[in-house]
Amino acid sequence: MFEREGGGIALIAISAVCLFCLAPMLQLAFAAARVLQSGAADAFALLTGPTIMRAIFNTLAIATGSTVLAVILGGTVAVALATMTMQTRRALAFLFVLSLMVAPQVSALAFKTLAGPSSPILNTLGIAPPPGTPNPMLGYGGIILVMGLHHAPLVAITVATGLVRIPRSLVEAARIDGARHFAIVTGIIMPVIRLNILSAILLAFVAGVGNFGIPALLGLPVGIITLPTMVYRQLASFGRGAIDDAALVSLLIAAMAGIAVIASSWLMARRDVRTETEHGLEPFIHRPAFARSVEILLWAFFAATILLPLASLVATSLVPAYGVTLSLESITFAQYTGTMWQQALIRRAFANSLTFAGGAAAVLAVLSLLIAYALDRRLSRARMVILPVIEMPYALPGVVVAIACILLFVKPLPFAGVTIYGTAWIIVFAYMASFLAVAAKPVVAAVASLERDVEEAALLDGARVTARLTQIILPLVLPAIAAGGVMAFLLAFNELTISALLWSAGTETLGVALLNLEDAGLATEAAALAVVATGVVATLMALLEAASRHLPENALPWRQLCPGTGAGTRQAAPVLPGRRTAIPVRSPGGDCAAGRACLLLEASARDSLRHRDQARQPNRHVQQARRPQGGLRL
Amino acid sequence: MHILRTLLAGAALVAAASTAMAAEGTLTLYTSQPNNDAQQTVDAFMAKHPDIKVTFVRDGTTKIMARLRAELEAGSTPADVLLIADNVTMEGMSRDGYLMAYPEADVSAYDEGIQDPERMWFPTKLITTGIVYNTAAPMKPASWKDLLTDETKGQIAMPSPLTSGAALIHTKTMVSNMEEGWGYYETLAANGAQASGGNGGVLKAVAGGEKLYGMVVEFLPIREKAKGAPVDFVFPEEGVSAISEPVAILSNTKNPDAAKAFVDFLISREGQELAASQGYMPAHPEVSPPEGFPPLSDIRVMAFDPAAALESAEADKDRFATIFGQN
Repeated sequence: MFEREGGGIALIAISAVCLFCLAPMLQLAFAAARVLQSGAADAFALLTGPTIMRAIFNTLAIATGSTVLAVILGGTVAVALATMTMQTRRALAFLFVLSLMVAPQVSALAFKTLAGPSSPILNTLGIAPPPGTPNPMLGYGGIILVMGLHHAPLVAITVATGLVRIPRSLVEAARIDGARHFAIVTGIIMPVIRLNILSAILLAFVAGVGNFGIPALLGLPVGIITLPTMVYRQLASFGRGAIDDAALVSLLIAAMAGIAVIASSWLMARRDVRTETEHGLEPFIHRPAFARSVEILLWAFFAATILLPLASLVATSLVPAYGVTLSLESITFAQYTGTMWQQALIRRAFANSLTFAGGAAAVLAVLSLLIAYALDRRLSRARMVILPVIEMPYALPGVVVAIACILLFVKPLPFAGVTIYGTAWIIVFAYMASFLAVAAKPVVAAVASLERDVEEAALLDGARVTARLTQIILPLVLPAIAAGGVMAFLLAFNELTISALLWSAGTETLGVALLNLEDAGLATEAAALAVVATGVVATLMALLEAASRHLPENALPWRQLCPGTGAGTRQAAPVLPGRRTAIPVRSPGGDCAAGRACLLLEASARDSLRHRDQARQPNRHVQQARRPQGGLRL
Repeated sequence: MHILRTLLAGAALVAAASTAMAAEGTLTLYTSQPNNDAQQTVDAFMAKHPDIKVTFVRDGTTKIMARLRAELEAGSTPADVLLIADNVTMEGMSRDGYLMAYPEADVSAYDEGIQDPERMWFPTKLITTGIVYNTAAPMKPASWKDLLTDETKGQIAMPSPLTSGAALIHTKTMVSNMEEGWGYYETLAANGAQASGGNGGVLKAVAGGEKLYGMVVEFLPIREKAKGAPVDFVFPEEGVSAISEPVAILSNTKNPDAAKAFVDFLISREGQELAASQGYMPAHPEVSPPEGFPPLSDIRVMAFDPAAALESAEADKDRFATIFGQN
């Protein structure tokens, strides 16, 4: 009966998906077709030139190396956090994900200041290498190390989505049989999550192929060029005339990443292991001595790879000039109190990043609700087509999305005759395209899990679709909307790849400002800017963590790393965001048309929670379990 | 008759005053100056002209020019005024008809030899490229040839002409003045010199101790040395290359009055003193250079032919890229 209404919403949802996700991707496909049709020979010549071959080799080598590192580290951390009882599990998971949410260019800058002859930390300890020693972070080794560490949490989150689904009974049975912990991990857990591991490998590879910030800061100064930095340099040094070449290179990146993305979603979709989530995995290694020492080891590891570089970044921002040793005499807070803020560029960059990311996230939050509702109620048959379309621009590297947006908007819009190329709108558009998937994912899951009884009752009461949406659905899925919106904001706020290619006079973002300061040799200002931006991200994440009680499970990536934390909440499974808020349904305001229905149905809603999976929607669980989950791309 | 003349003079005066008053609105500056210098310049100008709001966009000369050229070819750019490293690029812009002449500009105090006869662009400083070294370095270089020795093997950083306008002119000056010509750069490359990015990166590498020696524009190390950074700068005995950081008005500016006011400010005594206070060698002969600089007369500038440089710019970049890799 819902199918007769909500046509408008479905229309908005479909148009939004077409506009933000389909149009840029089609534009890329057209560009590829044009190349094949007219200039295949030229394209082949360009793509086999020595420079690009070097860039391809570098990209593949760096992506492979960083993937190996990320999978080993991320996989180990994920398994350790999921299987061992640790008091500080949540804090460890939070810190680990923080290192992913810190912008890659900030990470690169932090590691760059950590090593080398002028490292403030090494100098304070008196163990800095003598002047004339190259910075070990510049070059292949440094890029692979920083990228591997940066993508390790990405791997951990993907692996964790598999770990949550391991039936607890499986582990229990093995323990009754007398299996040792090590045997359980290698013999039971690993085989069950092998597809997740494969998928994590592919995701880390895609992230490595598409990463721009790290090779830009650690590779370009020593002449190591990758495909994304090559696209950037083509556009930055040769202007719009180079757009065809840049498009060609970005098609190459899209092809590399696309194959891996498709392989990954295929793997996740055919998940052949039966994973019922009624009783998910919980930490089962309780031996205090062992778990404790692993915990201490993890803290030491995180201190060295996350806290130390950040500390070094802070130290660099406290010296008056780059190369000066930090001491009580030389310490200055001038960067924070004045120097940095006197620059209009930095003030503008903060304002821009906040408004672009905030604006995009706000609109995405609204769109997510409409899309989720339309997918669930009007377009359920089309969801298997629409969801992958939403995922596509998110899964592809930012440089590909940016080039697609340039191709889309370089000519004036067909009817309006104006162009958004060279304005702030093209950046906001690219953010919307890139991060719609992040904002929509938790909301789609939340709406799909909602009881229909309440809404049906409201319908009987004569509540129109907008009233039902705003007064029943919205309050129930608000936490999921907020979580998705904030995650989209965080990613857009940190982003560099898209804006590095799309910025113009007055629309510089934080990432662009950082790159620009580095380029001008203002290393201490750059460090101070990075510290402030990281502070914003960490604060927002801490606020999310503080509000996590009210948020759906799995909405926060660091919570996914700790399966079985909230004892009791996992009893009723699967993880259905909105479920907990579904029970105390209240009429949102006295004038709610559906108010009476809400109250009437409160009891029946509670009842049906128990039976609904078997009775009402027998297939929904299967759908839930099969839907690819989690995963962040940067 | 007498009254009429007075009236006319008065009207002319009012007209002149209103032209000066008309300098208001917004102005967009494209520049390759480091961010904080550009900011100071713009702030000082706006303090003097409160009715004009200046926005600036900063990037390396090559990058900012790529952006500007692309915008001009597409038909519109927000830029009104251009302040970049070198006059070779300005010559190119002038040749292509993108600049507006400003013959009324007051350049009487300046040496006519450094001015553009057509008054399309105006030098604002003298920026020379010499050798920077980390104070911990075992050798104190005095000549360009010192960079070819074993002591500097793998220890040299230099900006790339593919990014920096100053570096392009420096390269051209070096190959036409050093007896080895391009051979000098080939030896440098064989000696493990690293060429990439702009001057800022070179300064960071040397100040940070990752490299001990570098070719760099003089104001960066002189200024950082004053702040305590472990660097020093030498003017090599063969001489230095020089650029003049010219300013020009774009022909399609929407606010020519404000643009002219900006040029006036930069070449005024006040503007030149600001440049000196920022640590640049002023172009105005009567403004004294900042601390740490030798007197202008002591600096030996190597010969340079802008027309020839414009002619061979692309070929020079290609040749450089072949020697050092595409950076």
